[in-house]
Amino acid sequence: MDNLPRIKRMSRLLCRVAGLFLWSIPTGCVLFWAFFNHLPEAMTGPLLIPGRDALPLLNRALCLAAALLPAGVAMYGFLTLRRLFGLYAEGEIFSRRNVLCYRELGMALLYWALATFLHTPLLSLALSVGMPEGQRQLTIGLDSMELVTVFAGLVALVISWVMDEGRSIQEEQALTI
Amino acid sequence: MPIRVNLDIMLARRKVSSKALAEAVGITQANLSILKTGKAKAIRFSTLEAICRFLDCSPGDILECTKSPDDPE
Repeated sequence: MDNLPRIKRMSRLLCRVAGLFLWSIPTGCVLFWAFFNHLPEAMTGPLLIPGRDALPLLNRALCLAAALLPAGVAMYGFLTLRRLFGLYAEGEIFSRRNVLCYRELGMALLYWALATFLHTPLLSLALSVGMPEGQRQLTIGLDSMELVTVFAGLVALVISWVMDEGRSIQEEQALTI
Repeated sequence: MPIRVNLDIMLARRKVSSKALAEAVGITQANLSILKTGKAKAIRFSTLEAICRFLDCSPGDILECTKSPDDPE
């Protein structure tokens, strides 16, 4: 139990960081697409279709909608992390609520992999809407990052099952006189 | 075959209060209450030994194996 004060202290910090990410992700997305045409070319260049130097409002709105798919999943993940670290900060280590957090985190990572996979074609469609026929694009890609995310999601799910075993051991321990 | 805890009966026989037993055994009154009400999942040998020593009885006086309707004949 020597680690408990350290766990609580660190968890309080991580809870705040997760809360910061939770709100900065959608804000960042909205700001990025709202001011897309005013951003340095280094940031926007890879997204612009050759021959276009600015994106019309419709395209930017559609791009934002496409970006909100993975952003929403990321928010769900950070919301879960904030709840988990909040529980740790209160000294709740092996409880049913912790187990649920790990399970939701695992699912969030799996959803994240799916969302990023879907984001690529949706973004390519959103970027090329309004272009003349023959110049519209549909990009599909599978990144190694997505496979790593699936792996991390499965690891988190297994950890949630291990945590559930730990919870039942702790419950039994608490009722051993 | 559920195990029944007859600690209350032994306490009454020995005219000992729960508080005195908890203090003598070195457990909290809350834990003793868990034990008395049958909510405990397990009892340590050291706790059982301390209870038996204090109440001057044997484990069989405190723990009783009862038949449940589900048990085969």
